[in-house]
Amino acid sequence: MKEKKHIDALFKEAFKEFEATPPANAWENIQAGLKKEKEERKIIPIWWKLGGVAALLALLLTAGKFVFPTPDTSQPAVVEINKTTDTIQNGSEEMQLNSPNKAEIASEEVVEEASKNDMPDPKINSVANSSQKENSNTPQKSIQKEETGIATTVISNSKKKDEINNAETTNPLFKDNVTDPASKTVDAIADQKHASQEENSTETSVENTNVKESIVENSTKDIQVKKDGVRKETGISDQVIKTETGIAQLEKTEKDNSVVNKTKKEDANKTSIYDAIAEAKEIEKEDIQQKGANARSWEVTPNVAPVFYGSLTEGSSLDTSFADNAQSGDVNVSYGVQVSYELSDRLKIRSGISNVNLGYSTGGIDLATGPVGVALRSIDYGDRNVVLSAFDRGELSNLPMPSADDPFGEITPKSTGGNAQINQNISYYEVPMELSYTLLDSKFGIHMIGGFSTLFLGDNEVSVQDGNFRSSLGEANNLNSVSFSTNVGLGFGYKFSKRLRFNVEPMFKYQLNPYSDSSVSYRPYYLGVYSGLSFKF
Amino acid sequence: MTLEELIIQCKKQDAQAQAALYKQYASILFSICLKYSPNYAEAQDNLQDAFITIFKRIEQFKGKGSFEGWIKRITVNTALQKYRKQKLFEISDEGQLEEADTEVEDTGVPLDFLLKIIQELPDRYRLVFNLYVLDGYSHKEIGEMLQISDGTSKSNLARARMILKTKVEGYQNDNK
Repeated sequence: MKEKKHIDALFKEAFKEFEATPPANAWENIQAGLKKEKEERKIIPIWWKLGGVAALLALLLTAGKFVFPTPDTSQPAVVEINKTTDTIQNGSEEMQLNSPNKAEIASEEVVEEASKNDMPDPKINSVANSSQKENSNTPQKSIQKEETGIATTVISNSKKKDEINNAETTNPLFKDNVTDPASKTVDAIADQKHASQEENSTETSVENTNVKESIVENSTKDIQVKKDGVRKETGISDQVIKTETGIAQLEKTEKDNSVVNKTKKEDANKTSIYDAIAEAKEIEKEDIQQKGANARSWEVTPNVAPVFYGSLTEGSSLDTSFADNAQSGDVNVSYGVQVSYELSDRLKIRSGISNVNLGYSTGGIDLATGPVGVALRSIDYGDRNVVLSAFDRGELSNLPMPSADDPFGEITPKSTGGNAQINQNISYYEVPMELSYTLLDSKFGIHMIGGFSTLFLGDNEVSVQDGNFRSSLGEANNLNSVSFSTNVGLGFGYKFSKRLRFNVEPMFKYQLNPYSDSSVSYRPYYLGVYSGLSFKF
Repeated sequence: MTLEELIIQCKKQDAQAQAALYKQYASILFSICLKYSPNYAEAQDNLQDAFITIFKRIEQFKGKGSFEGWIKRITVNTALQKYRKQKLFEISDEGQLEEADTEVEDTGVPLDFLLKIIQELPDRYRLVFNLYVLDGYSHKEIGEMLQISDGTSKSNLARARMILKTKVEGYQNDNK
């Protein structure tokens, strides 16, 4: 008889030094797995970065909105001066570069444009043309000096002083001066002569417009005459012509609406002093009003949407045993408010907050009461030891007969009407960051939307239902408290007025990482048709 | 390179260090996987998952306790994870056994046969036997790990022993 030993000892001894070389391809698979893991982890940082960039952009634009208000409100003189100075400089550069021939062509174009548009200052343009021909090499500095000179001469003339004041009254550029008595204005203008060139060049040149006009009047050349002929204008002194060149170039090169409009308005007002071209003035005013309307770039949209929840893949977020069960997404409601900012005519960036309720039900189940150990693991049952849970249909009948100390034995099936289903309801707070690109912008508009949302988990509940019977199982424990979705959609809008628009936006939102358990193969998305009223302000 | 240096490099996700670490520990961990899995293919899957988890979580290893112990625990947990997800309903009749005779003759039974019969055990018997006998966990710990009661763990172990004993004796009789 051989020596006997405990079976545990037999195995312990045998396995003490047990080592086994794994198959060769195991390492390759691990490397592949690590690589995949890395890529998956990258997804979130990219969205964070994009979100950060978008948020920063929105912030900068918001700040910009307050620092540089849009031209529908009265503009600070500083901004205007700088812009005009730039264009004057551009104008003079162009002037220097242009060959005489080119200058002539350009000037012809200007004349054409001027007459076509019925601009209030064709005379200025025509003067400018002649000056381009004759003084194409004159550097800007000398222009400004000479301009200043004229300003001084003009100021000495009391009649013209009044005219300047008139012009200033309607000109936001000279707001400060408007309140001054005429004599003080003279002083102010005289001071500008000595002030730094950059700052004052615009004002000086604008004044010079008046100056020139006054001179023109003095030399008994009426506006009609000026409109007709370029050559007649050449009779005016060089300085005057040069001054006008600056302004004319400003008109020609500066395409920026606001500045052009301002300048036009100034010109219109000035002209009205002499000739009262009231129609032109009105046109300009309308133009400005329109610009003002377009400058409204903030929009607030309260919206509401029916949302349908579904999955791109088979599977269940609750348990793998339900993967092949009948599942259906519920139609729920999302509501919230959205704020958008116009980045350009076509592009808007938008964000906001909304509440999204999602739900889906899983059929083909049986209900039973049993110990927590056998119940669905994806649910947090709290402190309860014996809970109601759901099982894939047929699973219960395979369970063994109950026995005294076995927790599996304590399962008590619940008789149901046979239509038992699990309902999972999830509520998220959604913060989207989206770009909207306008494809069609008229009374009826179409735009494309793309972006992402950050979803903050609110309430979630898993419940079971069969006919009138309904019972909550608990909260799902495999949902991430913060997750993301990618959003795409198409928007249709109808404008009731400039401020009010009705929107309908079918959106598709795909959830990137709703589950903390990576083994869940359920890939949920939700579809919503968001409708709301947009208020522009 | 010392183990400490290797771990530091692995924390930086250095591919060479990961390969070196794998080389050093693969066979030890694979033996665990073989014991806890029902077959070779699942053991390989388990090993791969365990190493991925180790490399992913190596930053969490703060040098308290042995590194080998840490990676072994991860490997065992990886094995258990699978059965936590799958419900262990297939075990029939878990009634309490009387403390049976667990003595066997001490004749040479080859290791691969012992491994084979462990793998053939029903899932939870295999896990309980491995955890209790080969890895020294208490019934209380096993109960928590597998989310079963102490009593279930004990009865599972007794059944596992009986099955193994029968198979060992069968082998010994065949090879007399």
